[in-house]
Amino acid sequence: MQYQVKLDVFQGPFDLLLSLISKHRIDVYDIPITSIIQDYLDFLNQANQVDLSVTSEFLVIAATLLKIKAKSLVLPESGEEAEELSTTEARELLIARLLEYKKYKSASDALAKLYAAQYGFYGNGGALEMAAPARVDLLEGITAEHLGSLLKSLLAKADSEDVLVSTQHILSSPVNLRGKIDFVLSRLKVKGHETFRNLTKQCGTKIEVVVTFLALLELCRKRMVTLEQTQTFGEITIKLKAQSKQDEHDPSFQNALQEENIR
Amino acid sequence: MDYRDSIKSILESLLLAANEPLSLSRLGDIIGADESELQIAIDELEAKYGEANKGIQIRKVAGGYGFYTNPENRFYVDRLLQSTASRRLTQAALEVIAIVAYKQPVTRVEINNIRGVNSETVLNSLVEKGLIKEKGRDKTPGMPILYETTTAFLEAIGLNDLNELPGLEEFAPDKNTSDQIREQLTSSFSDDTQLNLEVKEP
Repeated sequence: MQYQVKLDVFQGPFDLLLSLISKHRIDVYDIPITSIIQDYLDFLNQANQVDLSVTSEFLVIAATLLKIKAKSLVLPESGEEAEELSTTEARELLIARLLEYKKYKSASDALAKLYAAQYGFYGNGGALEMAAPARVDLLEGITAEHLGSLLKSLLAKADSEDVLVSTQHILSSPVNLRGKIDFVLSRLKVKGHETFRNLTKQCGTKIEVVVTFLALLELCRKRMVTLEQTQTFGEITIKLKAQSKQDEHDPSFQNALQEENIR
Repeated sequence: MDYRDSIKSILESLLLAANEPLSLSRLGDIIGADESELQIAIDELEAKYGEANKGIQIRKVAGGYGFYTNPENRFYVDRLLQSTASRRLTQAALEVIAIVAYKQPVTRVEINNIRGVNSETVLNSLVEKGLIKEKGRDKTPGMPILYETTTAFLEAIGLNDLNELPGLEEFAPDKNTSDQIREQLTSSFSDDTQLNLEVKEP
């Protein structure tokens, strides 16, 4: 990799600070914060990409330096808040953190050497890696048109909804799983099948939609309904199973449901 | 085929079929043979495969034995696995691994504090690579997730045991470096330096 021109890419503010400090090895008096900041700005100008988190972390360090320095220039007022760190303490803390970081950085160099030395020993894991199925792509086959039509139907739903101020937050009506199950069953008995969208049309709150979904899961677990979704993000269709009658009167089922009241 | 030959034959089959290094005690459980007997058989196998120009080697790594490709052939194996890109670890990843390796079990916040930068993405990708895994939760408020290194990590750096890691104190900055850092920071705080913050015109 030696033939590559490599810019220094710093991993975080400590990394940067360390390298800046080592660059200014000789000029003890010439290390005001300005030069650290100037070097940092130069580095930013060189880098084609700015990592916001790295940049802002550096600002925190620079601000700490400034604060410490400013405090050291001002004579301490008597009776100053005791809980704040003294300049010396803050500096010692920063130095300790830098030294700690440097230790792990050196350790990581050593690990990198060990790691590089293992290059070429492929165990059976390699074969597994090759045989492993490609990662499932949740968005496979989903096009912009799909998403567009989904958004359109959502907007249409929003339009048709009541625009009056919701009063749900004043007194939220308890949502009851048992009640939702009854509701779903009653709807299914009329038509034999129903979509999740229709079932949740009247729901006033998110929790109500969630409980409706829980009701479906419960009914599905009890093998009273079947769920079908032909494509990702597509419509969920619920169908009543023919032999569900006897299950409904299964006492253990009734008892189990009695416990699960959700507000 | 005498007893030792049949053990060697079984060992070869097990090492080929396994997807991670097999420890002596595990091999002993599976084969139902004495560990000392197994050790002799493995040593003989190691010598056999250790001859020059063999494409397969037996190695003891991560506390167990396994078959590995001969590194001399890595160019071709890379072409098969197309794995060079995924093997490379960034400086950030190496730092996180080092912290986890030496401080485990360790929380995300502790890692962030040492590096002075958010390490979440790096941490997640290392978990995905299988070099680091979650190990329960800390008892402190918020119950943060604890992380530790995996067997695959030991395999990746060719060690048998975490105890074989070089001591962390070996990496502590020497006195010169510490003094230098201290001096630089102290000088930038000392009041004989003028606070000089005028903005240069671009």
